[in-house]
Amino acid sequence: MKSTDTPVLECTSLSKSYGSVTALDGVSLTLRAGEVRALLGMNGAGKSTLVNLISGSQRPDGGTIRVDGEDVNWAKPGDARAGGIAVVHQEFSLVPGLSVAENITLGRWPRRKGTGFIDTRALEDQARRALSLLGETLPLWIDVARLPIAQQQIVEIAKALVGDPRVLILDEPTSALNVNEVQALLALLRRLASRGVAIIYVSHRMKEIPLVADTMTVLRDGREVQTLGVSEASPEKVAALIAGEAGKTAAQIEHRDRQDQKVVLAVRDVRLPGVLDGVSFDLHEGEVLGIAGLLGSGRTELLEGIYGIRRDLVGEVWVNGTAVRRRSPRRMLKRSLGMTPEDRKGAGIVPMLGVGENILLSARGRVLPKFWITSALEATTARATIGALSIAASSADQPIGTLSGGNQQKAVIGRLLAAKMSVLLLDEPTRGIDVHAKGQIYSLIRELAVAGVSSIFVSSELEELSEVCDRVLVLRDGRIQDEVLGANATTERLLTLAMKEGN
Amino acid sequence: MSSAEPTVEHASTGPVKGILRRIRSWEGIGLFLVLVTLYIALSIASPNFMTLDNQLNILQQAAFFGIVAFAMTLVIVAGEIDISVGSMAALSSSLLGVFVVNLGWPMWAACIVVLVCAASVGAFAGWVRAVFGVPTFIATLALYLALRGLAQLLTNNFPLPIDSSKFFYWGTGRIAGIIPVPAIYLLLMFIIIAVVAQKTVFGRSIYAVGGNSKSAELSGINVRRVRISVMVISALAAAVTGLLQSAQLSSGNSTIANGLEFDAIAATIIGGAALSGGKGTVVGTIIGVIFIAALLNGMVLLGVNPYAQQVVRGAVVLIAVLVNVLRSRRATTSL
Repeated sequence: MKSTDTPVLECTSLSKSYGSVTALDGVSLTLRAGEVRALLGMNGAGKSTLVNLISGSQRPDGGTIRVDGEDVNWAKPGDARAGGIAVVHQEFSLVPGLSVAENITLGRWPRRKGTGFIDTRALEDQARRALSLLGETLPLWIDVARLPIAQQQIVEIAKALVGDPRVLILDEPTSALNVNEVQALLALLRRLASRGVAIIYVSHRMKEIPLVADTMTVLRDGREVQTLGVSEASPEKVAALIAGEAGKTAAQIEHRDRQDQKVVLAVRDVRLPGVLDGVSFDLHEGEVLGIAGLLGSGRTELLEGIYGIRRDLVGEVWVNGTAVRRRSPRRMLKRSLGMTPEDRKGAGIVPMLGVGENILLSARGRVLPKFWITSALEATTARATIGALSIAASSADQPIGTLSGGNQQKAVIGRLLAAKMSVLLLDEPTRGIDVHAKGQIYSLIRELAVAGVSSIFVSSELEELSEVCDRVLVLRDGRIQDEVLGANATTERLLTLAMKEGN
Repeated sequence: MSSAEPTVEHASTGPVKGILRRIRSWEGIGLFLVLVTLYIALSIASPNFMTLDNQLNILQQAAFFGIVAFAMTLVIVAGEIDISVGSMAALSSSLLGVFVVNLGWPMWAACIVVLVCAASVGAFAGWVRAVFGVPTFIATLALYLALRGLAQLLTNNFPLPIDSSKFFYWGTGRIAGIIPVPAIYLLLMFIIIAVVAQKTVFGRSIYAVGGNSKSAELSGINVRRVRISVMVISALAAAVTGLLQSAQLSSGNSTIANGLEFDAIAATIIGGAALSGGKGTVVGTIIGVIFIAALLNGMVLLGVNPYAQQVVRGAVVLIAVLVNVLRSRRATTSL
């Protein structure tokens, strides 16, 4: 092992722009062997860009990266791997049909000399060595899909350790894990660090950071705000650093108090083992209720459970005064409650169908005739929705897959409106769409609220919640921990509450 | 990418321009031109091809797999497949033979019971798919073997002769001595299924389920019912084909309709349907049906070696798939 004086990784004033947007602006970062650095910041602060530059999936516009004191200039991720940088991404990249050992060594399977046959013994050795770096033993020849998520995560990390990287980058590695699994993973990372591997740890979970990290770097708007030791960082201080000046005030919109209106949706003591631990709240007519929570806090599970996509949620859901049992999307739609899913491409749109048809999917059989299609009526409904939401499409027949994300999202919301829904569950409705379209969606939701439509607005971008919501609930450790009125829902406040340590 | 311009409908000036625009934007136009080319080539190569009699022959032949091909289009658009149609037709024919010849049932009752049996088998395949997630390829592969075996078991693999001139007429008769009755079935089924696909909520739901089942489910479409229904329709179409061939052969026969699934799926694919679901039209399929029927007929007229005919059929399907793939790839890269 090299002396700890030379940094393993030294990034100097890295910059990167995409078109006119500056994603990263002169960020420097120095990492010593065995150091665990937490990387914090809101969505769009530049964390992923920084990770992408260090790991070679993108090239910086300016600045230098040094590994072990030598300048490097990577053209592709393979180069960075060979140069000693390994990344564990948030999404699993395991191949289900292959064994643990095959997955760990994926893409670098050793061959028997001069043949195309896999050298099984060498493969086993590599896999076992990578696992032993983590101090773990797993059955090598079991199908990886049969392992629990936590062990799959270990395989994922072991995969990154083949070839002895100097720097290991983990992007939100705990979002899929429960509390005990997180503890085990953090211990494992400490063990790895004690062997001299430098670790960059991207996470939102404030609780984990003191347990695993030595130091932390906070990014905001593509710049480094501060790098500090974990001992000097309180949640309030970190939240303030992450949110910045703009996060101190709530957006200047007219937040109304609708809590005197009748309750359209009541959720009582909803539970999902390991995720939700007794959630109760009311949604009033014409109210926009935000749900703030960090990744993995169970926001999506909550909405999916209410809408009946997942059946493993226990507890009561009342719509307009009647309890709805054995919930399914069809039943909920019948009660005028609709949902837009987080995964717009995979679950929101039918890409090859026209915008018009996509809008009409839920309306057919509900507000439109059940059996025969009346072309004229359909065209009018579709055109009215396209017009009302100002969806930019050449015609109602244009395949929705060819529209921009913002217009797709408007159409998905339009589907609920065309079917005359009065309660909307919106899961991350602004994910992956541009600023302009975001603004349009905010005002759409506000306009609907004035017209008496109630919405639940879930977003991991906390600054959005203060822009649209009348009231925000903070979901943490499986419960509603705090309630903040829209006018007081500053980003900083929400962030502090969402990150706060549980009792 | 979409422009931010407000939507402006092209003002249609008169019906003629509207029709012209429709034809230009019609996806099947390329396929239609290919069909026309085939017709011209065969007319030149064989003087007997372009006679009224031969064309009606082609329609009659087309009926034997066309009806199934239309139903298959719905199945494939839903993202499923049914390879048991040939065996289903054979079983239907055998059942008819057993009911009418061995048990002495009246023809109408036998036909109804045969259709009910077919619908149940289709519903079973759809149920296994919809509820247990068993791919229809596997479920219908099992049925492909089992149903044919059952048909042979029932009849001992011998034809059961059905003695009824009326029944024979329904299979091979000609209206006014010219138009073959099966051709009428073909057109009738085409109209019914095309209308179902385009004009009913059920039909459009098939496209939504095949295009993105998750989204369809969240939008409140009964995905299970759609999946089961398309398999029932397919099995019914196979049974009707089985009855039709029984009428033509005047017997309940367990050896009929070998390779029916191939011609039906081929016609659907040539017609532009995507095996991944969500895409395809019944109008495209009827062009595919006529293309295959004309090709087979033309090759017979030209005296092409029967083995070589198979090579040609296989090649045509492969080319059709490649064209579809290239076209959809071009469509996605131009986004």
